[in-house]
Amino acid sequence: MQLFNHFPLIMIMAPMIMAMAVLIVKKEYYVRLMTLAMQTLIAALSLWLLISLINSEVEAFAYTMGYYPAPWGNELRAGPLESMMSFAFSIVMFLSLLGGSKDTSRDINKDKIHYFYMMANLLTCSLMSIVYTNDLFTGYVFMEINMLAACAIVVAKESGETVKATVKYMCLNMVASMLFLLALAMLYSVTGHLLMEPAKDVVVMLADSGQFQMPLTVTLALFTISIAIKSALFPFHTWLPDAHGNATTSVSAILSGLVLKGYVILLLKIISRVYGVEVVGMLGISNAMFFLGLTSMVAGSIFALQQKDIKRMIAYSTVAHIGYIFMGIGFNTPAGFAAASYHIMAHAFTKSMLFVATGVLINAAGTKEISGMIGVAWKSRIAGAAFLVGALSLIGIPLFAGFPSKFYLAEAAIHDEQGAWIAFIFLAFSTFLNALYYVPTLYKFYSTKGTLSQAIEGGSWAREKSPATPVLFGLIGANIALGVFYIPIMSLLHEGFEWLG
Amino acid sequence: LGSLGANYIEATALILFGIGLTTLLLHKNLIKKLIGFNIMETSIFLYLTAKGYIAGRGAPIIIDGANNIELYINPIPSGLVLTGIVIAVSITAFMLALCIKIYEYYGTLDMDKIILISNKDGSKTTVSPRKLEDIIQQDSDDNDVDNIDTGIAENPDDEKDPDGQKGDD
Repeated sequence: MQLFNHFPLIMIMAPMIMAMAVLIVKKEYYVRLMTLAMQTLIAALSLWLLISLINSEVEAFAYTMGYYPAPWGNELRAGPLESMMSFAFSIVMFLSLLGGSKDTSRDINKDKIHYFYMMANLLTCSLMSIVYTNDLFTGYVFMEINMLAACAIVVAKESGETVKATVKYMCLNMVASMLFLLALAMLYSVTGHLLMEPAKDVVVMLADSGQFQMPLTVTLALFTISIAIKSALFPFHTWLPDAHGNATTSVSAILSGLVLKGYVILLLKIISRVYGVEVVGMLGISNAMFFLGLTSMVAGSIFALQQKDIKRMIAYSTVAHIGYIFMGIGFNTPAGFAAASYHIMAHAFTKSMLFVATGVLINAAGTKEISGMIGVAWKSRIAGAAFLVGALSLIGIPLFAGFPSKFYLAEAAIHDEQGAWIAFIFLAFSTFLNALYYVPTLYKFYSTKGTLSQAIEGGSWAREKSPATPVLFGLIGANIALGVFYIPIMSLLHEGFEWLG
Repeated sequence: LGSLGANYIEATALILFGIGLTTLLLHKNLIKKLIGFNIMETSIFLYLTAKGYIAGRGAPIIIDGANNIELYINPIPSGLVLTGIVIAVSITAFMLALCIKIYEYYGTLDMDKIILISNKDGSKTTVSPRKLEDIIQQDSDDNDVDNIDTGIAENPDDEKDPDGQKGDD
């Protein structure tokens, strides 16, 4: 066993220990430093793991916890896909926490701020476990930790609105967790395994023999619905805008960029590692995912059009983009999964950038209403530029992260004989709708008519000393990098899915 | 129908799950929603325990070295139930804490009223307690509701709902 084989476990345990260490330290400055250092450590380990996996002969490995062999013990699994996701997640987490740190210290009670960072560490821990786990029940347990930590950091900015938003969040997510647990119990009673690989052997055997078709269909449907609720796909999205619109800046960025995506990764793992592409296609659930994704793409954008509050608008845009990801999964081919994973990364970087930039713009304008923010981009130019890049990226302009993901989704659609035309029409229509709400907003932000644009002369690129400025530069850079160097990333993702299946 | 009779514990568990789900989704009162959640999780624990039990065998506690495995039930579902209980307890505790907070801010546990209040006061991020009382006062004038502040207390009208929904399961 080589050194890098232990990295997944370290990436899960270290933030958990850090969460406790943070409670002892308590001083805001050091606590933030420790949390950010933890994200850096995870990013470095993930990169190391990724490079070693590329260079070594084994492309993926399973790490047995406590050295109990496969059918009995608990396992972690790492491959190119997992290490890349954990790398992207830790970077986004780092940038979101740092970018919104000014708002965090303003919005959250000074005496309790170490609890906020404790929850951020726990969130990292649960995200890493969801990414690396090879065991369904471990996935469930850490999904719950993820939900509680996410709710806790939403409600950390204490106001009537956030408490209400968190209650809504909890109510729907409780339903989702119970559906997941029910599906888990049923799948266990049919297959007798909780580890993904042995479970898949039994599932494939059952599917071939034609026995227990109904329980298999029901469990897969329950898993899908549960994760659709947790990642706010269209008919189940009602909790999302409140939570994302009212939380503090970095929390909105983390929720939209990471928390939703963690669940989708788990769904991808369930589909490709527990059921397998053939069985999922046979049971017909992928069609449901495809159509839910399509509806979500359009409905999310239509809701976003009606919003007056900038943060709620971006939150509804997340619903639309979760739709893209589910459409990609709905193609039920490795190409579709890889395109969906690319969109997970592209959207994580773009949406966190939009939320951080919006936080700065809201501070500059003093209001969350779009109508009150006319000309605000001149007042804080770097945030304006970041919003511009983010909006263009989500619309799908080349050179930015959103373009290759839409391109690959369209490419994956070609191979789907029946769904291709529907997918193309919805992709085009949804892109049009995206432009329909982002372009007027940009126009308002860059207008020279409003009172705020009097600051044109005094507008600054980097003069104000705020941690958001370097973060936004970094996010713009990451966005353009994802938009330009997509071929190596995509080939790695393809490789990852080959080894996942 | 014969298999339903043989698996009556599982069938009961799923009926309980349905009752819990409808309670969680359809009740307005947060405490009742939480009770619904607890019914749901308990029903899944029942399902898991029933699946792990093998008639005529004992608990897998090994004394004096390993014995014949034919003597024991499957211990894994019991382990899952234990973990599930821990999770359910923490969710319940967190949700109850949120209920206390929401009662502080809105003066009610009725979700519909909470949404009504926050819509009326839409632009403000924080609701000041005094203003809140005004809103509730106005609200009670408008709607002629008797017990605004007693969201926790039993509302006789709510009793009808669970009976009405049981048929749908």
